[in-house]
Amino acid sequence: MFKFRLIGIISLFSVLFVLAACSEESTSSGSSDASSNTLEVIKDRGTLNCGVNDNLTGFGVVAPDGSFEGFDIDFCKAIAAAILGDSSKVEYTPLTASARFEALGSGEVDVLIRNTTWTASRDRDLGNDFTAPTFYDGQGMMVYADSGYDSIESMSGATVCVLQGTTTELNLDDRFTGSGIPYTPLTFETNDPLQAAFEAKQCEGWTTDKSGLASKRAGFPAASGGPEALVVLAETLSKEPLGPLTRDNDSELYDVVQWVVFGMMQAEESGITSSNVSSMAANPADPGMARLLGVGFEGGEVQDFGFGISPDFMQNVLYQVGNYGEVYDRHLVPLGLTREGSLNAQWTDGGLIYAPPFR
Amino acid sequence: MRILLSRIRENFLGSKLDVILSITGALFIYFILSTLISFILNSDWTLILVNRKLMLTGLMPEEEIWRAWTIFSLTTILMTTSIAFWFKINIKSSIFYILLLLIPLLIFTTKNTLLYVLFIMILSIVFFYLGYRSKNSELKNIVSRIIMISWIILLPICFLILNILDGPKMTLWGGFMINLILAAIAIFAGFPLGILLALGRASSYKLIKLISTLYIEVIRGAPLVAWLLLAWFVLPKFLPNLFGLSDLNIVVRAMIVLSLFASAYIAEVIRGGLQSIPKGQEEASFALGMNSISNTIFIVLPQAIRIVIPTIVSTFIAIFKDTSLVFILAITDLLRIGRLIPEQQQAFFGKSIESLAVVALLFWVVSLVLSQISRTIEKKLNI
Repeated sequence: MFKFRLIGIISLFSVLFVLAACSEESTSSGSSDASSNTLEVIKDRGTLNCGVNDNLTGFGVVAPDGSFEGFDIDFCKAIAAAILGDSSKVEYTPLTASARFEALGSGEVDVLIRNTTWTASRDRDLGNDFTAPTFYDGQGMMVYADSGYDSIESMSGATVCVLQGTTTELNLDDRFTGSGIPYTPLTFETNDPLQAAFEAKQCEGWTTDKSGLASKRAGFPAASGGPEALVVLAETLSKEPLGPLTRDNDSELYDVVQWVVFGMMQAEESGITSSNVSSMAANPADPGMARLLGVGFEGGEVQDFGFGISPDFMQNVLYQVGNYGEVYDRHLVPLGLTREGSLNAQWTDGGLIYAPPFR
Repeated sequence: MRILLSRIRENFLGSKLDVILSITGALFIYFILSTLISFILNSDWTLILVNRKLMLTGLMPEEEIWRAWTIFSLTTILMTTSIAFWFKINIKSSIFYILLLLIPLLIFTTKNTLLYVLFIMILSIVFFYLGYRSKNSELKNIVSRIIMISWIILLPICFLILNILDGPKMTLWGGFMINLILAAIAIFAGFPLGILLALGRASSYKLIKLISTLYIEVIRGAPLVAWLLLAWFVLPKFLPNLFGLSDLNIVVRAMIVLSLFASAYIAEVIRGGLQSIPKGQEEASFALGMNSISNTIFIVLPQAIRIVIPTIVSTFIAIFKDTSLVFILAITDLLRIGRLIPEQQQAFFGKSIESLAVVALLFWVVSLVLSQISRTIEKKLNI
């Protein structure tokens, strides 16, 4: 019997060794696959695999007919329009907050656009490359108007509802424990039970990104007092720049994603929209606009920036999806997230939406 | 009337203890029912009405829905026919089934699909009646053979229907459909594999025994979520890059993991059945000149499986409910849909109780039908 066990253990170990050897071999080949030119892979495949959120109102939700829609989704469409010329050639992979980086790292998705906050550790340790943020958010705190809380300092001893496993939870602890304010966190996995708890007044404060708070406040049921019953405190607990990300060492795709985002911002600044892009391309007002749209100015040469895609990619993007402002207006304005005075206004209006020159 | 009253007196008001128990029970039922009814009446169900398509078929595009409908009608008709032919269920329990299945039908039938549903129902009733009334035993044998074959080829046919004429990508399959498909695959693939593993574990060949035991213990030793995540992120790195194995579709990977997982549990259930067969039977069959293979196939297994039918069915139900874990693989199954639709728009915020209640109802109805079928089989086999 003992001998038999020994043989079993030895065979088990040998199997494990073989598997380990195999895995090592294929990891190296796998990572070389992953680091090889994803842009070419996308072109060969004919579709873009986009990792998205499926339950964040305004940013990424599933519509009743089964299609994805939202602010982040439109950037997936824009990238597909730029690379493949067709904004519908996207395969969406809905990802949970915890699985998103593994999905990107293992090559399940080409690009992750899932309201992901740009942080140093995510950029470096997790092997990602963040492009320019598409949305500047910040963590806020929402309380009942009649609760008497008017600042974080006044919330001593309060119970705060928060989503678990997010940077939000860590920021909350930084802010309260850091200032020596006692509090009790009440954590939830998704937004909806959290709202139920908040409505049942199991917690006094509700913290998440301010965009989320604003939309939750605007949709607060009248039975529980409606939007007027709630106040979002003025203080911002953290910076939350949200944007697309690609794998490290995937410069070709990274550059395309980066410049599609910039192109949409630049188009808004130059006044090019989905409705006038055709006439602008036929008759560009200035050389800068001609370079952005990939056409020659007054019979001049077309400037190709060498992205490895058609030089007039921004025409497809703008015609099929629209510029940054159009995307914002389509998805976020209906939720009550105004741009005026926020960080998401154009730099000319005092915001942070700023595209480097197309030259 | 008098009989009814006396029955009530006998059953509910027999002794002092009975009276107390009856009153507590009645109050309890009243409390539950009144809460339930006021919840149903006071809730806003637009969330469900708008998203019926999403809940049943997930991300599948609108123009591909006919595939789901074809599968649904084929399965329904096959099920009613085989119930009528094989089990001869009486009218009373048939009415119970119909009422039970009417709940989801009422929720999910839209104006566009009303005619279709009626058509399927009429066809099913006709087939049920034909099966119920048929007396000719020769014809019956033929038909029941046809039914048997249809059940076996049903799953391949479903796949064919989902894929012919440029079908939608597998990753777009979703909603309740994907739960049912995954459960069916896991059960149909896991059951034979489970039998083999159980026999392997009971085998006298040491190596086979070791491998089976190892397999069962390893698979059962880790939670399903862990296996699913492994299949998602790690499996592609292990598999050789032959025949596109390393980039297997995520749904196929879920099917494989669920089948392997189910087989380990089914194996242990069947092993319990195998051990309950007295040694004398084996000796008797050897005395009759049977070898160990025919002894296993004709003597031990049929009895063992018969004994463990209730446990097997409860394993099946558990597997069916486990399919809701595939949401972590980015498959939008029913539970995932139930959790994401409250976030669709501001008007739906805070309505996850409504959506999850409907999700639970659907799982409950199917589980209940499964357990009823198992009870019918038990009765028929006199267990």
